[in-house]
Amino acid sequence: MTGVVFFETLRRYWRQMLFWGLAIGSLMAINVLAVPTVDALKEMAQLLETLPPFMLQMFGATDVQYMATPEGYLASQTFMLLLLVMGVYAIVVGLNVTANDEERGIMDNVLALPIPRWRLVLEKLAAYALMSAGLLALIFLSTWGSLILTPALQVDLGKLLLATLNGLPGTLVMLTFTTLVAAVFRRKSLAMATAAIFLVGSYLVDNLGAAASESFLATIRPLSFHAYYNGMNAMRDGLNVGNMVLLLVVALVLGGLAMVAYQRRDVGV
Amino acid sequence: MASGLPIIEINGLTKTYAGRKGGHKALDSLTLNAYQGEILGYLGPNGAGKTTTIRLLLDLIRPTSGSARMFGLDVNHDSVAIRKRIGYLPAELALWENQTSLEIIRYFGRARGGVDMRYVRELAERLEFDLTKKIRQYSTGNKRKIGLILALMHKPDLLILDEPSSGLDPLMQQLFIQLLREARDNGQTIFLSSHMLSEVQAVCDRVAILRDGRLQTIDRVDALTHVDFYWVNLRLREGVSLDLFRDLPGVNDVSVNGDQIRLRLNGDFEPLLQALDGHYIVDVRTEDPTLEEVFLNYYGDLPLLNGHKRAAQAKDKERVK
Repeated sequence: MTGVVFFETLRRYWRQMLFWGLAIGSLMAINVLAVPTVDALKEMAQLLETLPPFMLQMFGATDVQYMATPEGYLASQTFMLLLLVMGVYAIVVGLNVTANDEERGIMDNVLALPIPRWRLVLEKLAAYALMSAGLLALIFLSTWGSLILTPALQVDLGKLLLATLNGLPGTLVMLTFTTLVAAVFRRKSLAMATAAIFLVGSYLVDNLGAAASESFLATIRPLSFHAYYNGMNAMRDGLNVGNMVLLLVVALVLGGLAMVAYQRRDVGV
Repeated sequence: MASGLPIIEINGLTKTYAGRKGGHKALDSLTLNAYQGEILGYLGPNGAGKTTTIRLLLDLIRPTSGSARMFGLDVNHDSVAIRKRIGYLPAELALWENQTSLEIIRYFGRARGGVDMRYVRELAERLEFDLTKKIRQYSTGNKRKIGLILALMHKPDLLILDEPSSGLDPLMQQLFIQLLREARDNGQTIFLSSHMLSEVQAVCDRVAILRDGRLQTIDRVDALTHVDFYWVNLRLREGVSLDLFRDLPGVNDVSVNGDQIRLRLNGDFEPLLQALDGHYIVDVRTEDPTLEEVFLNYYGDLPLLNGHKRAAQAKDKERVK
């Protein structure tokens, strides 16, 4: 029956999404509520100006004056790291698609049901993609709520929404990548390690590559999916639709490969 | 029974797992059929290849060579259509610990296009099973019960059961055997992998015995137990010496306890009667071997059954042809 796995996954894991939303939203709120006045941001900008340029570039900050604005502050304190945090969530739920049930021996029961393996992967991916969007919505609401309580920070809500939405394609890349490695490798620990290396490696290649423009890391920086995220400047410059589409296409390809890989291999041995 | 339509047709099925020294052959050229309305017992010790066979039939793993069909459909290409008609209970049932039985039953029921919840409750009542608890709250025996309900609830045409009654108490084992008989009476076919020979003997129509991934024999239970030997228990008026039976053709495993004699006889009675000429025989009783003895013969390489073993293999090959 079409949709059974999708709705069952939602029924079973929406609370997990709420807990993640509560945790990440609280971190966002703390960052916002910690700003007493706009002057504090200017003082922070003056401090940043004393740092060597490569350090600023490493954190995606090319314009220190922008960081003294509420949008710049939010970007540097929250959206810079949003994809990394969402990536951790994507690994956790990506392992839920096949690896966890397979490791516990539950998959034998599930695959005795009249559901093709590819559809099991597809419906679970769709459910977790929806919950990833839901998690970002919770993060948006939490940030918005804390902004209301912080008069010093006045941020355009539309920009805040777009900057939050900007995290979705990269999260989907991480979700489908984790699902793919879990579908290819039979061992959950190997899949988890590979996904974690991919996430952290991509983040480091992007940031270090940005800081050292003449280095090898700068050359391979286009291979990092973080390079297409642009969390620092999305609030100022708006969404880069091309980058978002590219990441969505990569996520679709990875998801498709995961379905094929899981359809073909032996399960639970 | 065995004359019905073939529900499971396995032809030369081989599974080799990759590994050191050329890998491990878990199943070697298995060929057997299971027919509509029969209960086929599948016997073998751990590592014999029973679970591998079942996992191949369910398309959880893919064969190295050979093929299998169920309901006339290929187990690889038509696995979804096949699984609609199958109920499966794995040897080690694992389910989501934080879910209740009812939640899992509803999920599996929806995935199967809906099940009759009245029948589910009837099964639960007969098995004295509480559907409202979370999986982690159940004992091992109760986990087997939820497995049985999940396998039976949609009244499948074929039940594939891997060690189904392990963990059940004796009363529940009897109820389980009753459920299997009812399923067979309803025309359902049952593929029953088990270690419990008494259970297999009680409920199965035919038995396949597997050793090191190879089929040793497949035959009707009564044909296997009515092999060409039986136990003879004699009571004489006076005791006799063990030497009396030495080198008697067809006589083995003799034990003498005063006037009581027990021996295994393969072939005619005449040499035994000649040896006892002049002795007053008070009582003679004969016993067929149990399935357990037959089974142990296949794992003990005793010479007595080798003739039967070859005959059974030849018979099965004929059947396959």
